Amino acid sequence: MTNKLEVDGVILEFDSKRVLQNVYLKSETGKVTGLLGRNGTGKSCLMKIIYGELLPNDSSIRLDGKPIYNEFRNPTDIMYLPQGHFIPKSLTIKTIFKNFQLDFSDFITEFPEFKKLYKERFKNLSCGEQRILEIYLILASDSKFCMLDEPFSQIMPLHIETIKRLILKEKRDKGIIITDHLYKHILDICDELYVIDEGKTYLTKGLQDLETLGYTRITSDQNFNSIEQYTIT
Amino acid sequence: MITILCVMISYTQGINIFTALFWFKIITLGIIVYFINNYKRNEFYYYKNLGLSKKVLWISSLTFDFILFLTLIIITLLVR
Repeated sequence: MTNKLEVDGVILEFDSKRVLQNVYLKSETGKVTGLLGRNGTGKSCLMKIIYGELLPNDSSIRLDGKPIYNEFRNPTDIMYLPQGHFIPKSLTIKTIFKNFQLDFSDFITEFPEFKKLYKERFKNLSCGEQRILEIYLILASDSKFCMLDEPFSQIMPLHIETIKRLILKEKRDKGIIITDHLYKHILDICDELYVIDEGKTYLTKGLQDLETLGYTRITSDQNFNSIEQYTIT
Repeated sequence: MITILCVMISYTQGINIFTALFWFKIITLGIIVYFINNYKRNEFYYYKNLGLSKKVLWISSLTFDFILFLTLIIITLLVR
């Protein structure tokens, strides 16, 4: 079954400074929706609005066409990976997997180095290990949509590739919204790419749009070859 | 800890101190809520991702803590 999450009409102001206006974003089952934008343009704010954590001046959020009015989000509908670490430090890995009703053996298939850490407390993991665990919990849990805010930060390149593979595997059953400044990884995996500029979202049609919208200078980028395959479907 | 402190004070001072302890407990709960909301705010995402909103967590934990406080104070005053 295909599910659809839409958000539009978002107006967000902080002390009369308008951060978001005229925003439209759509996510569907089977698609990875990328969200890029310069620092402070409101990417994380938009995710928090969708997740009901930030109250905007105005917004319309619809799940399968039905508007969501309250701040509660059912985890079977949507899950959210915030920028910072969110797992209580005193919990053990065993407890965390039990709480999220996930199978630890599936996790160590992807990340075998965690095998010996099953009984460790979360605080004893390195920052990168903590982040990998958090990303996995949100990605692998059974929900219609998930939002990932800067998942690739703090992660070593080898594991980024594993996470990208996981994202592509999980998108079969869910819609994924992802933002990160390591944008080449976003370009590798996304099916649709929005850029936020001056409070508005733009659905990009090609790489040139990223430069036009002031996000990056692709033509002068030495690693351009790695992303030139990117096409918007 | 605050509840235990209140129980010890009520044991030594008796019923006369109850009003002061009541407001002391309310104020300390307010301070705890303020600091946890600020310093542990990301951890609320863990519980929200499990289906427990901030409101549910606070209502249940504060209700439990306050009932425990009242119960222990009443028992202490009866035993005294």
